Amino acid sequence: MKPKETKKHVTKISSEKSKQPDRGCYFTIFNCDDHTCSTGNSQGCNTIIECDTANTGGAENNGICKDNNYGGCVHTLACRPSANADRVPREVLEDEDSINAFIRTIAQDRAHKKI
Amino acid sequence: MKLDNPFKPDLNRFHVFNFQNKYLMLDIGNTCLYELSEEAYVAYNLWVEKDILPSDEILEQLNVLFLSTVVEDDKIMAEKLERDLPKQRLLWLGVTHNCNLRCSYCFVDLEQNVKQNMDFATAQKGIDKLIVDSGDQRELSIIFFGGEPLMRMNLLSEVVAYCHTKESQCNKIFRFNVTTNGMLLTPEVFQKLEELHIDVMVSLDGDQEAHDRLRKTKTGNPSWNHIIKNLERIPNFGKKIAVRITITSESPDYLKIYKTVEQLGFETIFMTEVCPGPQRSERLRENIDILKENYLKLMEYLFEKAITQGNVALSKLQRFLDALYEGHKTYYGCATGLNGYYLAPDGTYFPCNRMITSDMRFKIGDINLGFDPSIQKLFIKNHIFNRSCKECWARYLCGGQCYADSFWFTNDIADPDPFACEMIRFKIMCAAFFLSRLRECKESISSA
Repeated sequence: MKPKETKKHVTKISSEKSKQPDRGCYFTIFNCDDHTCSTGNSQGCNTIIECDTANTGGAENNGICKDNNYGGCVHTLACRPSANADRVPREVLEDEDSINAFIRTIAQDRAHKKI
Repeated sequence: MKLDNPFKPDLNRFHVFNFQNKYLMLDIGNTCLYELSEEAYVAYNLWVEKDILPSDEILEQLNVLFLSTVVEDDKIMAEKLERDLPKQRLLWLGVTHNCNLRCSYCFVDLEQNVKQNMDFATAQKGIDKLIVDSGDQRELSIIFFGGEPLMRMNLLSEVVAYCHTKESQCNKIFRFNVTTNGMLLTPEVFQKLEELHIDVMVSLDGDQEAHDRLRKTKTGNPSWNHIIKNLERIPNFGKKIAVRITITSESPDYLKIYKTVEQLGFETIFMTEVCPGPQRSERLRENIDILKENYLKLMEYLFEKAITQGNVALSKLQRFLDALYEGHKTYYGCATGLNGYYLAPDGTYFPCNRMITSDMRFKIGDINLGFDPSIQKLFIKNHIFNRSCKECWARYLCGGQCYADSFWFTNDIADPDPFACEMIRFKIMCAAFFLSRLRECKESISSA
């Protein structure tokens, strides 16, 4: 006999890898939409302005916060390779966790399947 | 058999809403988004309103959500935020308050009898202070602002050269950005900016009609055509230059405005409603439903663009999508007065250029005497836990709005404009809706 199928009532929409505030790893993103982007590249970036507590690492990825790089890092998910090729490490642009990567994947899959 | 259910509805921890027939649940403290089935949504609301427990099947799934939730202690977090002075990392350098345009809503009062042009010595002191106050932070930003900063190209070159001499001495890296009205942005000037590694953002006011009405030259002539001609002479300008659109209309057609700049070739687009006060009229407030409807039309367009081109290209939406997708949190509305300051041409510091008032109430210091800790404290304490925001479900995504917006409307940086709050909550709901549709789209492609 086929087991009764359970209906999915709660679906996580955020990334499965989304960051949980695991106590002591707090960070802040400032609203980069105001006037200019504080990273100085004006490409629609978010900047983590204040990290604290036990996070002493800091971001040394040329100032780019790739992931959970606490310590007052610059986080540039929306940087575009065309304008920032010399500024943004390739791994950031290809960061599979980012919303940009997620959107790109959908577009690529869609084009591939000609939907 | 009833399940042992740790999950309980808590309006301060979960925000559940129906947006365009998508049933969404935001885990507020984790900025994590879930989609509910219609059945679960109805059951959840019955639980909240009439204390009727949902079915075991639904409860079981809601329990999983509860287990993934970490609750932050507001009081401890507030103390953390206020404990240490943030290190400075950003300096808006007001290189001039002179301008070749006379925009009707500009913060600069050109009639004021104050020094209009910054000299190099003042800029140098500002940079030295930034270096000292940044402590061990390596990455620093200088944003050239005005007035019209391109009227001071020589000073820009001098500042960049000075910063480079300091980079190796002080183990710092500087990034540069300029916000310009585009009137002087010729190919030659742009080439110079590229050589200096100064990124460029040009300000436009939506479409040509709105732009020409509000952004006139000194002699009262329209400026749109001049700026666009300048841009068109720069090869691939849309890939290299970002645009910031100030929405000024009382019932803006966001989609039309977006398409206008998109058709011009811009790929990076910032769009913000004009600062309130006299400019944010009652009519705009009355039109809030039209605004929302118009914004939703833009969302539809951007959704199609995202799934066909893999690109959203609207900064505010991008920001909320990032935060919802990746679980980011924010405690402040802006960096101003925390780790970013505006240095006016005469050597006076303000939290930002929009907080320059005639009574100088937000003067935060000057280049010779440094910062006034009592004013700095105002901004450090202005986090979401000390504001009316602490009750708002959108607090960790919004951070409490632009302080200048709040001040110009309510006369208090800690008291946001309700109109702006409503719009930001709507935009966050749009982003949540957008994200759930992206997920749905991904799933349908995968199963195709």
